[in-house]
Amino acid sequence: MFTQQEAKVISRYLLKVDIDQKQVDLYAQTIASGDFQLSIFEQRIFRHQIQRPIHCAAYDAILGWTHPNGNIRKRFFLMFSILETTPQFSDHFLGVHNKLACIRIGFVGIIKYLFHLSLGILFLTFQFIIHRLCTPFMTASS
Amino acid sequence: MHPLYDCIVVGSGPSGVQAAQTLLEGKMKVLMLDVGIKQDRFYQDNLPNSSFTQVRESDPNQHHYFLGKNLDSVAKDWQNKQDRLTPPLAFTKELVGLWQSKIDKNNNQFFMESMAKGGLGNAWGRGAFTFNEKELDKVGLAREEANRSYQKIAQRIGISGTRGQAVKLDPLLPPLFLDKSMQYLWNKYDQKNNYWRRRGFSLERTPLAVQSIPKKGRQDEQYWDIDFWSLGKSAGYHPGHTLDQLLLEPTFTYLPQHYVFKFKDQTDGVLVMAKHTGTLEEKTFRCRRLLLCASVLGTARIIMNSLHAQAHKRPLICNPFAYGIWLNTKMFGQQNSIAKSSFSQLSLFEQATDPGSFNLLNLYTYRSLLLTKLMNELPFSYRFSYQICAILKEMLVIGGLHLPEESHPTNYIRLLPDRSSPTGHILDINYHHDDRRLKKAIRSINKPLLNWGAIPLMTQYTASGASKHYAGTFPFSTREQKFCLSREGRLHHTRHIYVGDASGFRHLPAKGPTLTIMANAHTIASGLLKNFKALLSVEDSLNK
Ligand SMILES: Cc1cc2nc3c(=O)[nH]c(=O)nc-3n(C[C@H](O)[C@H](O)[C@H](O)COP(=O)(O)OP(=O)(O)OC[C@H]3O[C@@H](n4cnc5c(N)ncnc54)[C@H](O)[C@@H]3O)c2cc1C
Repeated sequence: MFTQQEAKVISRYLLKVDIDQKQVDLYAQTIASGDFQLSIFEQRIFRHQIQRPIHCAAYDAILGWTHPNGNIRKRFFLMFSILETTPQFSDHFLGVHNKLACIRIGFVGIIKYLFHLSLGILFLTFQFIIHRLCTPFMTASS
Repeated sequence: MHPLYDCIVVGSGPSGVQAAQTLLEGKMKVLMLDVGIKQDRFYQDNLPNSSFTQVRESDPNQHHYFLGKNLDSVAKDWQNKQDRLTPPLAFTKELVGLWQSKIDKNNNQFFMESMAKGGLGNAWGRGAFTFNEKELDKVGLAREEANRSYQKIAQRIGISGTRGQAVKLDPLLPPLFLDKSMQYLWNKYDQKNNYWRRRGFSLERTPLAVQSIPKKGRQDEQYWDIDFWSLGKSAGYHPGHTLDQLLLEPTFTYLPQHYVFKFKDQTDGVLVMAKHTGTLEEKTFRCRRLLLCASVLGTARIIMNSLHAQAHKRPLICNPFAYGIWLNTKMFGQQNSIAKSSFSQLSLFEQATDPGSFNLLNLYTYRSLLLTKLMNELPFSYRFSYQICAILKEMLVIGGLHLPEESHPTNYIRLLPDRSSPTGHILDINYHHDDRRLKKAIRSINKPLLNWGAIPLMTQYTASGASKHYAGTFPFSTREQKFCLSREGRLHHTRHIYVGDASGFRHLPAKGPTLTIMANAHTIASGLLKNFKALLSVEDSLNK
């Protein structure tokens, strides 16, 4: 639906980097050829993530627990794989942090993660309720 | 009808090529029939000749080698936790579904077979252990012969390591270097090695079929951390090295794309029936002796089909296997050696309850499977998982735990008819191992590791069959018993049918069995040679 946009949003979220058309194409090709189909509920969440990138982290945090094998996670995993095997981003993966930096990154990371996880719980519950309320109308109209 | 061969060897895996080499050294006329459909050319020809870091920093097509040309390991295999073959080695297990079909009722098995030239031997981790005397007794192999054969195979393939519990061979090639992380563990162990030994633990360098110094056209280990990627430039031994030499011998013929499905044991020799995997044409070959080296499951299919033993249950043994990740706390905030090998570096033995028997944890620090794969094991958000992995990556120690295993009546295979398969049958594997033994072993092995500063992060208990070490379908027996092998490898109740792979092993120690499989194949081929010499001298005297 919006593979170009999603490739860019996901890579910005994951590594805070801007990717080239080559990586976007690779992402789009793989999505087109593999099994990355989203369920209706997943589509709803994914749309939110892509249209409001600020929500990406919250949904990602909660989906890791509730839908670890879902196709939203799989799309993020795909983009991560592409980023990790792109030479211009190799520093992000090969670089080594000193002890202090490790502690800082770890500490800040945990705080942010817990914050996103709590937001994620709220968002997902909200989406779930909306989904449940809408489903009868959607089936009726289809 | 084809000419008469002295011996037909089925299969080009480690057992097949070693047996064929021994037969050719005795000037026999040998035909090797092999499915061998799959060979890799793309990766061997395209892999860059440079180190892991260089590839990562400069190669725009690196995803081909790490994740597959079409990112297959993400698109198709992303939740596959059993099988970590890198894309360049994935050819090893391709196409098996069609020709070597299996029933997996509960979808909880991971028995692996190969239809590739070189078999599973293309992908082995090169852990080349010798079995100790007690282990050899349990397996059913004669000690002296086995030790002579170990020595012979070591000369052929080159084994690096240090003498100890893992390997008892003289001489050995010098061991590979330990990287910084492993050196820490080693030093910790070494400071109190007597203490640990008294508690039943010993840490040793993993013996490897890897050239630590250059030899006979084979490159020595480059410490590029890409050893798991491919075969072409590898210092590690794989059956293709031997096969290339054998192809130069005038009395050797190699026929790939031939699926052997049946033999007929006759008074004056053997008829071997094979199907061409491309044309499905059936062909018959003749030989004086047949040596089956088609791997434990492959050989079982051929024997059961030939002896009309469909639905007959045969025992199967497979090592219980788990892998885990530990964090080496000494590496916190430090960089590991840039130049390192991705082979197992250290082997931690733990005395099992049975005297002379051990549990074995092989320790690795490879990076070439990428952080992405590790992140996928964590339940956190990808961004947070990435941050964790970026901090922890230099500390990661990966361990593969194998336990010794016996034959159990509930673990068996049988061949069932299946019209949809080109072979006409399907293998029904019934196997179950109890994770409790693995859990207990992990708990106990964690004691020394924790003491040396390695904290357990996670353990994955794999499906049955995931150890890829199989044995025991036609166990050695001194009595002339149907579906058993004599010490010489002859299938009882047959005249000329021999088995050179691990089908005869009555037990599987925790150590990788491939060196022993090769040694046994050599022993059996040497026995066949003696047999032939006697046969030829009788024929000579009759002619005179
Ligand atoms: C990822 C991985 C890592 C491993 N690591 C280690 C390790 O570190 N140490 C260790 O000791 N072991 C290891 N192993 C196990 C090792 O690979 C096997 O023990 C070894 O390959 C067995 O050799 P084989 O000759 O019996 O069978 P295979 O190597 O499987 O070869 C069988 C051959 O027979 C052919 N064949 C099969 N059926 C037929 C037929 N009907 N007609 C014609 N040809 C046929 C196949 O094409 C193949 O060439 C590992 C295995 C894997 C997959």
